[in-house]
Amino acid sequence: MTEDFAAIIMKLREVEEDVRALIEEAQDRADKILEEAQSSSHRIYREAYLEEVKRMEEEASRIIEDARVEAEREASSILVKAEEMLDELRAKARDRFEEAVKLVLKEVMEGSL
Amino acid sequence: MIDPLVNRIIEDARVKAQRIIDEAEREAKAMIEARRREAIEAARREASSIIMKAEVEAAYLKRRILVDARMRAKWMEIVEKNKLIEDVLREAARRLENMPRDDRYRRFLEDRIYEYGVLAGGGDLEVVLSEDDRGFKLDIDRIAERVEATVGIPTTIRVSDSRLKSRWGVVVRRLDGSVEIDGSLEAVFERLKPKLQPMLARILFMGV
Repeated sequence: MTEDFAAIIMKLREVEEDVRALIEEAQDRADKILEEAQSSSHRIYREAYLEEVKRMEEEASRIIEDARVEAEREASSILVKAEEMLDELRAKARDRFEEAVKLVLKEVMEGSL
Repeated sequence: MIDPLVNRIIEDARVKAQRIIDEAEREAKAMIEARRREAIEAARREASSIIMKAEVEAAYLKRRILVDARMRAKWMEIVEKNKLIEDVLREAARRLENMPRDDRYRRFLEDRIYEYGVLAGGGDLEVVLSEDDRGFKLDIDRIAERVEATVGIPTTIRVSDSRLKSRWGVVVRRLDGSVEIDGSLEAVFERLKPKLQPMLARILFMGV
C-alpha cells in the first residue's frame, strides 16, 4: 500500500512537470503572439492612416467633380434658355424691322443733324 | 487507478494552455483593431481640412461656372441686339443713299447747308456734295443770304470740286479750313447713334 502511494506521488510529480512545461510553452507562444502584434501595430497604424487619408482625398475629389458636373448642367440650361431668348429677339426684331427703319429715316430727314 | 487522474490533469493543462493562447490572440487582435481605429480617427481629424477645402473649392467652382454661363448668355444677348440694331441702321443708310433726288431731298440739303453755315459762323463757305448730288439745282445764293441774315456776317457759299465718299449728305466748311461741319452719311449716323440706339432697342426688343 505504501509502495503504491509512493508510486502515485512519483507519477504525479512527473505529470506536474509535464503540466508546467505545457503551460510554459503556451505562455511563451502567447507572449510571442502579443509581441508580434505589438511590433506590427506601427505598420497597421501607418497603413490604416494612409488608407483613410486616401479615402478622404477621393471623397474630396468626388465633391469637386459632382459640383462641376452639376454646375455644367445648370450652365448648359442657362445657355439653352439664352439661345431660345435670342430666337424670340430675332423674331420680334424681324416683325418690327420696318418700323425701326422708318424711325431712323424720320430722325435723319427731320431732325437737326 | 492513477491513469485516469493523470489523463485528466494533462487534459486540464492542455485546455488551460489553449485558453492562454486564445486569450493572447484575442488580445493581439483587439490591440491591432484599436490601433487601426486610432489611425482612422487621427487621419480623419488631421485630414478633415481636405473635405472642408474641397467643399469650398466645389462652391467656388460652381459659382464660377454659373457666373461664366450667365455672362456668356448676357454677352450673346448684347451682341445679337447690337447686330439687329446695326441691320436696321444699314438698311436705313441703304435707303437714304438710294432715295429719289426730288424736291423733298433738295429742301433737306438746303436746310442742312443753311444750318451748317450758321454753325460755321458764316463767312466764305464751300459745300461738298456727293457725286450723285453734284448736278442738283440748289439755291446757294439764297442760302448764303439766309446765313448772313442769321449770323450778321457777310457770307458767300460755293460748291466745292471735292466729292463726298458717300452718296448722301453734305459737308459745309470755311474756305480757310478753320471750321468744318460734317453732314456726310457716316458722320450723321455716328452723331445720331447714341440717340437712335435706345429708341431702336425700345421698338425692336420691347417685351422680350
